[in-house]
Amino acid sequence: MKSFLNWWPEDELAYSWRFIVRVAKRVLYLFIIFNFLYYLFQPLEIGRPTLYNGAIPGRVRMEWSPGGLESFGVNELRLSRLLADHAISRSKAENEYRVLFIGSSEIWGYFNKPQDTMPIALDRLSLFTSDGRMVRSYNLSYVYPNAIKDMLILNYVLSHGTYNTDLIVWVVNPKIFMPNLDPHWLEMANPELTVSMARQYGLSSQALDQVAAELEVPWWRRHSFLSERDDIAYWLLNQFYGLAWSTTGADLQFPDVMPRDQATEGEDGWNNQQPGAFEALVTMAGDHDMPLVLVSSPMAWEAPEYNRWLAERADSLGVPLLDCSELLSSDYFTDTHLHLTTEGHNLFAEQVALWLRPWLSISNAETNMVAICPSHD
Amino acid sequence: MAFIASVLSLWNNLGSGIVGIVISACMATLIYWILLPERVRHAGLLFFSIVALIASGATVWFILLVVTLTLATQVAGRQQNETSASFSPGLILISLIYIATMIVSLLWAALWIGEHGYPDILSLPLAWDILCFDLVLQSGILFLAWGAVICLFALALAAIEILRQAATADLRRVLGYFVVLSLLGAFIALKLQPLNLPGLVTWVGFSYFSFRLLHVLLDSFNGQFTNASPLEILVYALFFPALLIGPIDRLPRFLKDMRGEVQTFQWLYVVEGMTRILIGGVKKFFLADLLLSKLALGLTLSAHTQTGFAWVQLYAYALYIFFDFAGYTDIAIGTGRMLGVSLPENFMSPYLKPSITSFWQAWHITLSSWLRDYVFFPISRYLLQTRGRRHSYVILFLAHMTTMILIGLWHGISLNFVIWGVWHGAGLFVHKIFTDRTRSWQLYWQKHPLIGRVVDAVGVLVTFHFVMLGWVFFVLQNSTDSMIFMLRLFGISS
Repeated sequence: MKSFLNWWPEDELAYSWRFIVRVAKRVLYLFIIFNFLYYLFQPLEIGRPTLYNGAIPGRVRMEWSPGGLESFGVNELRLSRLLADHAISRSKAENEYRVLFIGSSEIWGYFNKPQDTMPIALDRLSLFTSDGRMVRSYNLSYVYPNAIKDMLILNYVLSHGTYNTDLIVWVVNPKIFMPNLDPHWLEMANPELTVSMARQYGLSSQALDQVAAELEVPWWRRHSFLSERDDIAYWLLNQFYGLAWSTTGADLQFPDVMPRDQATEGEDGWNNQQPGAFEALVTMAGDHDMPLVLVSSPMAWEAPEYNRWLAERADSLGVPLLDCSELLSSDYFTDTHLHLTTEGHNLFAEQVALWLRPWLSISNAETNMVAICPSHD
Repeated sequence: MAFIASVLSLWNNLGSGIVGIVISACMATLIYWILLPERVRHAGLLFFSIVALIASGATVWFILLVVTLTLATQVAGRQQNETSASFSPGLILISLIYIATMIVSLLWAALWIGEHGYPDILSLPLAWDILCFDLVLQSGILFLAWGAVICLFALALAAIEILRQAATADLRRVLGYFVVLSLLGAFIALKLQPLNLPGLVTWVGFSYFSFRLLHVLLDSFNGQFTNASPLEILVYALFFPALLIGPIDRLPRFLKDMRGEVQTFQWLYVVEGMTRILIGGVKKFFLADLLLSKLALGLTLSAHTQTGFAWVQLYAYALYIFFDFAGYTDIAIGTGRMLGVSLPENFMSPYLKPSITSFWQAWHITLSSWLRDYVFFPISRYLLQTRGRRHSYVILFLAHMTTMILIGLWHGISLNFVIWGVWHGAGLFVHKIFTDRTRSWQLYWQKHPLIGRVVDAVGVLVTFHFVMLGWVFFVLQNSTDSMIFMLRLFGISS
């Protein structure tokens, strides 16, 4: 051991090829050992070190940093890291009632500031339960519509008891139930979680097969220091960006004007090709004795067939549903027929607040709000 | 060797920026010291230089060909107008100077060989090694600029020789002033960028080159360096590790290394040098770039106007500029070390100094000591001699202001740099008055170390924030933006 550590002996300082080869070999061995130790201990997972929710406030929505847009965030794709930096990881107050929102970009707040999304607008309504607990909403949605991805996030939260959730609100739109030939990038970045969840709830698809293939690569290409160098860099960058986030409240700078996406939308592209995910998500909430409610997000087009199907499925599974699909006119949408303006998010939040009243026994919700969305309780 | 030289030259010519230069420096150093057997180092290096020069020359010819064709097309098509011109007169001028320099050098070499026969290269002094090594590296990314700089250097060198030979002091002075003013004129012209040069053709390193040359010139007035050969002065002025970002070495110190026994190669130098380069790399490419990426204050104002964010940006910039500058300096010192040259230190924990005076004794030390010796002392000495000690504070004020404004203008000719200079000049002056008026307090602090330490800690905080606020004028492009940002820092909306 002594001779191994003493890798730069004085008598070999003179130049020689043998010496250089010896140094190179020892550097290689040390690097391999270091990588193996990293694989064994997974330092990014131990205590999930982060400045968020401590020195700086936690993020109010999941971080996402697309190319081309200025952002004070990075694409941290590991769920453990995403949630460690999120406000959901702060300790729960004694008089707090936690409501979690999962869904896609319309609830994540594409084209909106983090504070201008529906869950945060709901927070601003200062709702209380009948036993005096304050309702706090957490936006755990993530961009791109995909039911498996929503399941994955929910599964992580529910299987880690530290988040102490009280109610789950799943905000859905027709695109969530469209077929996904390729897996979501969150699934690819968390293959162990995705595969074990798929096995537990009997899910199978071509996309999930792709995720399972990720598990077949050797350890040093998955969880070594070498393979996780990007994760480490992103983790570090994200700590720095936390300073900017905490002082500006901004995470992603959208352009002032974004052209309206003219892609075909409506019922033509929709069909229920992920039926398993719907049922599995409801089962998952049931397995953890967690109340789950469904909210159909506002849309700028009519989809009667989808609405009917959704109401029937919710009814058969015994899940309460609030149908806000026809709540807003097209003026409340931004670049697509799903992404809402700030005002749209506020109106949406009022409807959700009114609808949640029976479940939460909300005592002091605004009395001048009028329920518009039909519900299927 | 030809292959390696070509690759290095190509790497530089592709415009890989300062990273390319640093990597080339490290690679070439290793190749030079390790791969080449000692007996053939000189020969190999000369060959290496020639190949790189030819590669660079070919690039120049290629650019000239493109420019000529572009010109010919435009003239033929009678479409020549200001907006469509895709060439720069500066590019042609500098390229022509470069090629002319090469042709003159080759002719001179041919004539010399014709007269004296081929030199015994193995018996040449080590200065040749480093000079050739310089040429290899500078023939890359710097090749376009250095043609002109070498011409200026030739003029300066001639002037130094004339100064030595000059029969009278008056003649020396006249010649000296002429050359110094020529260099300063060229420097100011470059800072104003009247030629609007394209990105690649920047006058990289000219600032440091001029400071080193001016030091030799100014000291030559006093008859110093008479034993330094023109070759030694050339190697000193062109020493590549310190070319881009300092430190500004002094000739007497440099000559000690050049002539001393330390020049015998030691493996330890490479280890020390590489370690220093690694430390510098971490500072520059990790810490500085990390801070710069989203946090540090940039050339323009951010769209985010929150006071807290403004402070974050300013703190990040203060750390960024230190790590960036100190990192590059470490790389320069490390590269020099590998060649057996111990360049002077440039930073000594400047942000931990308890006063603005000690800050400037620890920040960019070689520049501030250069200006102290050649601007501050001469001005204050002259004024004290002519105006008397009665006006000592006025003299001190003028000397501080002139020195600091010159440092500001050295970074670029703009109102903001003048304000930055005034900021620091005023700080140094006020600190001097404060120190003079509080001597009894200082004695008390010396007797009570605990209180002294508390005062020092407060001094560090005040100095750091004073310097940091000064960076607002340094980094932002215009004074209006600087004022808006200052107001933003104190919660005042513009």
